[in-house]
Amino acid sequence: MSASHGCLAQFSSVPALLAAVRQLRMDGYTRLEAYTPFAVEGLAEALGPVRDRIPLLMLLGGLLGGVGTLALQWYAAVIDYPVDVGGRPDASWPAFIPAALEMTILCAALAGVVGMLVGNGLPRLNHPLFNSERFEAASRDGFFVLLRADDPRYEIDRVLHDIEVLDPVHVEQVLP
Amino acid sequence: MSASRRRQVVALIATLALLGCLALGWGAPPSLLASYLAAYVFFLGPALGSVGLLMVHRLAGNGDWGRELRVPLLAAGRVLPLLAILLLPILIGAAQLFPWMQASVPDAPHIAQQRWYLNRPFFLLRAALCFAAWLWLAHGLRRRLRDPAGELTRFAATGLIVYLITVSVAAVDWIMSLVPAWHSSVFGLIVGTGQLLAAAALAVCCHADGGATPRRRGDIGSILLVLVLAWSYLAFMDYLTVWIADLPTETVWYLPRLRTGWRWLGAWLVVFHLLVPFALLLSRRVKQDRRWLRAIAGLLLLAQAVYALWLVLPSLRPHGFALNWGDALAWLGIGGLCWALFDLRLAQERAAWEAAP
Repeated sequence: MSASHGCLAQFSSVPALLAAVRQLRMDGYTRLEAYTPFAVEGLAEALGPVRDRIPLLMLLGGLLGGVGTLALQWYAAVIDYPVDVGGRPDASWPAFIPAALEMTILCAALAGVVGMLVGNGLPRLNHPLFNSERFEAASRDGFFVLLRADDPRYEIDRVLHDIEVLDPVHVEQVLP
Repeated sequence: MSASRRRQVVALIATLALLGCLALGWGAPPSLLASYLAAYVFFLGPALGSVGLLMVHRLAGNGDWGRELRVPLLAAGRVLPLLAILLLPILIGAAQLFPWMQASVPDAPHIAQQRWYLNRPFFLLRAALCFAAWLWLAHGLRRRLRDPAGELTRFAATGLIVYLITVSVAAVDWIMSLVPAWHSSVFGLIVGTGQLLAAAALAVCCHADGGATPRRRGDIGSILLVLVLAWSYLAFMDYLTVWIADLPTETVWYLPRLRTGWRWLGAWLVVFHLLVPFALLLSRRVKQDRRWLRAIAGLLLLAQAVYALWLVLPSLRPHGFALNWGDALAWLGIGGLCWALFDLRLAQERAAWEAAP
C-alpha cells in the first residue's frame, strides 16, 4: 500500500471536477484531496466533512495560558515573594486578570497556528505530488483529484476503474 | 387585535402607569424619581445607540450587517423626540433627585469646587444642548440615508464625535453626579458602549430576517460579541483602576454596589452580561442560528436593563438591594410609551424601505 502516495486524476473543467469528487464520495472514498488554480465554490463541501481539531486545541491553549498565568502570579505574589503594597491582599485577583487575559489570547493563537502547521505537516521542503510531471498545471488550468493511498477503500485496480468511468484527462499513480 | 389597536392599548396602560408614578411621587419624590431615572437611562440606550450604530456602520465600511439592521435602527432613533419629553420630569424634579442641588450636602468640600459645573442653570442648559444634538443627528442621519446622493461619511464622522461628547456629558450629569464625590473619565464611554449594545440587541430582536443568510447572521453575532467585549473591558478597567488606587473619592461609587445586597446584581451582570453571551457567541453555529441569535440579543437587552438599575439605584438606595412599586410603574410607563412609538415607527420605516429600497 505504501508503494504509492495515491492516484492523481486530472479533469478539464470545474463541473467535471465537482462531478468526479461527488461520485468518488458516493463510491465511499473518504481521503480525497482536490487541487485547482482558483477557489471553487462548493468544492470544500463536496470533499466532505473534515475533522477540525483546531478549535478544541485553541480552547485548551487559551485555558492553559489563562489559568497558568493566574497560577504564576498567585505563586509569585503569595508564596515566593509577598510584598505588602499599601495593605492590599497578596492575592490581588482583580489585578491578575489583565495579564491572564493577554496570555489566554497569546496561547490560544499560538496553539492554533502551531496546531495548524503540525496538522498540515508543515513546514516541509518537498511533497510527493511534485513527483507528477503534470501537477504544475494545478496552478494554471488543471483540476486535480487525489485519492490518497491511506484510504481504507484504496485498492489500485478498483481505484483505476472507478476513476476511468469519470472520464478524466489523465490518470497516474504518484510515487511517495 | 390589530397592530394600531395594540399600540393604543399599550400606550394607554403606559400613560396610566406614569400617572400612577405621579401619584406615588407626590408623596415621596426622591424615591420615585430614582425609579424613573433608572428606567429612563435604560430606554434612552437603544434609541440613542441606534443613531451611534448607524454612524459607526457608515464609517466602518457600510457592511451588510448594517443594511440588514437599518430599518429597526432607524425606527429606534425616531423614539428620541418622545424621550426628550420624558426627560422633563427628571429636569423638573432635579432638585429632589441630585444631592448636589440640595441645600444640605454631606460632603460639602467637594461640592464647593464643583459648583462651576454642578449648578442648576448650567445643568438644564447641558440637557437641552445634548438633546438638541441628538435630535439633529437622528434627523440628519435619516434624511441622508433616504437620499441616494446624500453625503453621509463626513456627517457620520462629525456625528460620532458629537455623540461621544454629549453621551459623556449626559452620563456625568444624570448618573455620575448622583455621587458628586466620584469621578471616572471612562464613564461616558462605558454608558455609550452599553447604548450601542442595547441598540444592536434590540435591532436583532426586531429584525424581520427574511433575507438574512447564515453568513450575515454570523456577522451580526460578531458585532454583538465585539460590543459585549468592549463594554466588559471598559467596565472592568474602571473597576480595576478604582480597586488598585483604593482612594476614598473613587471607592465611594463602588462601596454601596459591592458591600451591600447590590453585589448580587453585579454578580448577575458578570455572568449574564459577559460570561454567558461571550461563551455562546464564540460558536459559529450559535451565531448563524436565527433563534439562538435572537435569544442572545434578548438576554443582552435584559442585561442592559439590569445594568441601568446597577448604575442608578445603588447611589440613591445605598443600604442594600431594594426595588419597589415605583420601579415597576416607571419601567412600565416609559417602556410602554417607547415601545408603542417604536412599533409604529418600525412599521412606517419597513413600508418606506420596501417601497424604495
